[in-house]
Amino acid sequence: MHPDVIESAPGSCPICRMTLVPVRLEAVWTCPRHPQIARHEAGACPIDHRALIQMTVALSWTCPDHPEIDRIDRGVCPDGTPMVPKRTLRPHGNHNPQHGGQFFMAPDNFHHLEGAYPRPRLFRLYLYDDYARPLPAAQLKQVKARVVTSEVYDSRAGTTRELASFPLAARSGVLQATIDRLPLPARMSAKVRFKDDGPEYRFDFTFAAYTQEPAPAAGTLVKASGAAAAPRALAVAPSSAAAPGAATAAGAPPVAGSPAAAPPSPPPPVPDSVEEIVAQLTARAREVGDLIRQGELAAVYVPAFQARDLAIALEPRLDALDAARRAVAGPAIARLVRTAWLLDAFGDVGNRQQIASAYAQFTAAAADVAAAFRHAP
Amino acid sequence: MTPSVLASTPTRAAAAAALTAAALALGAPTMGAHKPITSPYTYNADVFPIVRDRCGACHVDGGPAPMSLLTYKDAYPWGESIRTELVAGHMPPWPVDTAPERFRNAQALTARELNVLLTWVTGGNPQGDGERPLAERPRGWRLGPPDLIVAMPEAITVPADATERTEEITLPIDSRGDQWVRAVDLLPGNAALVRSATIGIRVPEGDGPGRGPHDPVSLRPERVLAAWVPGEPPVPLERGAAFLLPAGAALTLRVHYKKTWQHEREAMTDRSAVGLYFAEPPAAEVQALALSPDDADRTPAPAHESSGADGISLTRTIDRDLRAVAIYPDAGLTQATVSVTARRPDGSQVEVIRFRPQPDWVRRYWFADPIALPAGTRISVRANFEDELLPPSAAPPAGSAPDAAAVRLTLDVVPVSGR
Repeated sequence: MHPDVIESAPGSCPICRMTLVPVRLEAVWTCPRHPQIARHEAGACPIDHRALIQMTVALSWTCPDHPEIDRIDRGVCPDGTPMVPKRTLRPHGNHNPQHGGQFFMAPDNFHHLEGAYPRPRLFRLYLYDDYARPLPAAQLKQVKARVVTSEVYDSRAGTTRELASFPLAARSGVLQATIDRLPLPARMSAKVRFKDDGPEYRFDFTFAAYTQEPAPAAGTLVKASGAAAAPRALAVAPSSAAAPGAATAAGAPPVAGSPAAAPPSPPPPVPDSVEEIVAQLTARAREVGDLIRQGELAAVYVPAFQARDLAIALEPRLDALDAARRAVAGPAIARLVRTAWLLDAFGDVGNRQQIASAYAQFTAAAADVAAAFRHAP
Repeated sequence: MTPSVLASTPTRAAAAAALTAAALALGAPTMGAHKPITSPYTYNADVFPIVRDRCGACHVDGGPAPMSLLTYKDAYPWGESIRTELVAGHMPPWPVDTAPERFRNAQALTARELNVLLTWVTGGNPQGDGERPLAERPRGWRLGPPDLIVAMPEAITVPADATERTEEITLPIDSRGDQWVRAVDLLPGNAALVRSATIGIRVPEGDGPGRGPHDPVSLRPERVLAAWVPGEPPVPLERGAAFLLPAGAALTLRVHYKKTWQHEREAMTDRSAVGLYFAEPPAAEVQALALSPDDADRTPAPAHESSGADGISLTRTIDRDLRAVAIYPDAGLTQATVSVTARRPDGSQVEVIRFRPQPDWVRRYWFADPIALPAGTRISVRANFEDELLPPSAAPPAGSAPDAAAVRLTLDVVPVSGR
């Protein structure tokens, strides 16, 4: 009932008190348009050859002849054959753009959306639910949204005046608007109200180029690079809540995820020397700023968390500083850690103003940390 | 709907190898604030020791907080709330940017602790092995038996249909002469109901030194004995400093009662008691140095300190040698980042405090080392009323216009003798 609740032990759901069903989570690579495909490595979709995207699914075991069997551990079916894995979509399992655009989560933690700028004067907004499935038409109709391409913010009055705003209208399952001609990189904000009495959310997009929807590579089938020579396609059962064929609903052909959605590489190890940690921390903080300027808000958390880990590595070294430097560095490290998490939260929801304020605090904290540790004895 | 099995079934060995690869892939950092179990920190191994030591005074069964965090079962449903509170800096309720070691009653988390908690709440809340035993919740007077206990004469009931109530009562005390108080504590009769309390001194009419309306240098006797908030042990005064409780004075006790949501429809009663710990005379009297527009220097502040659209500045120059032992904001000073600095005649400068006072958490901030304020020291207060930065899931702050009159703090000082 409440798939957000993940327990590592049996019991009852803390929200609705129903008996908990244990789940095992797995990160898999799947086709943007064919979620029944699950692979363990990046590659191309065996059906349409489009690049696979990564998502999180629940893994359980079942029997082909007894689909009612659903167990967390592998076993043997009544007919003596081994059980087969079954993968089920999970909420928030997929934060990948499905149309090559920029993907954000709404602050209500339920809706997700993707903005695309496929050609001059066209903005499209794809809306999804918490399973990253396209929002049903009935719900889409209730959404009031517009795209703003020019506005001024009056900091004294604390108000924003929109100079160029275009209503978004539903068309074949997607919201779209014809907008004014913008040079690249194009910046625009979608302002979306999901329910009449609900709050209006703002999502800031930056398109460095027109959203690419390349045709699939013809006939090439990428081989898995792991131990197994042939790619393995595993059975996937969309959960009963998943609309059949939902992911293949109307819309433009898919492409690989934007750089923002690319899976992060493992974090580099924290260096030993204070100078090197400080140098890397400063570089990571700068990367955060670069990503914000490029509009890659959803990717900001990667260098922000790397800077966070570097700052935490400095905390045990505070004792080596004199009292004055320690008094600056200690609170600055705590501030940096807190604002790194704030950047992560704001980055997911794509609000440029909030992320810029968080970044101002984050980068000030990074500068304080660096100054306190620089040339430290 | 029947699961569709589209592809060939892997052999066991291939599946095992594949699962190992997937497990390795899962070692990658989390994808934002989402739910898969990615936290290397578990409740039992990593989170429990932190919440026990840092949150357990309030977040305990029967404590003043609306939920316990001291068992896995209690804590994990609150993951998202914990994240919101931590990232906003609302919890722990120590909104101070000045280094924690500068204070005797700091409640800050270290950066590592903060990160462990946030990683756990966003990383699927794993439980881990080896549940730790809960220590007994400490009850009773935290500094030992007080020298004088003054209980409320009768219990106060907050009826079922009310959730909040503030009561102010006068507690007569039987004293023949002046008494010196080095520490004050409150023992709530009902820990789940008493949200905050202020314990003060009421002196008989016509008593106490007068004070001119615009006398910038005069100090007042400190009449606020304690600003009590849940979870904070009383801090005893040191180095011979004490509050003066004049002969014939009474105590005032103002209690803010507030039910947590579990008790909203219940009538609840409380009968709290104040405990006083006396100091040996002679003692140096703790006095109040007001930092407010009424007490500010009359001379115009330097241009860079003048009040702007979103900030208010004031300065106060002192004319005698003092040492500051604590500072507290007026309850009306919230939604501002307040920074207090002292510039001494020798040019040295010290940050007294930089913080963001929270409503409902008015407390004294006790300095670990008293701050020397020689005559001629200029104390500057700057309050910036910029918007608070809150995580997306937190409610937006209620708007309030900058209000110069709200900028009120009290610095607790002890005159330095021998001059």
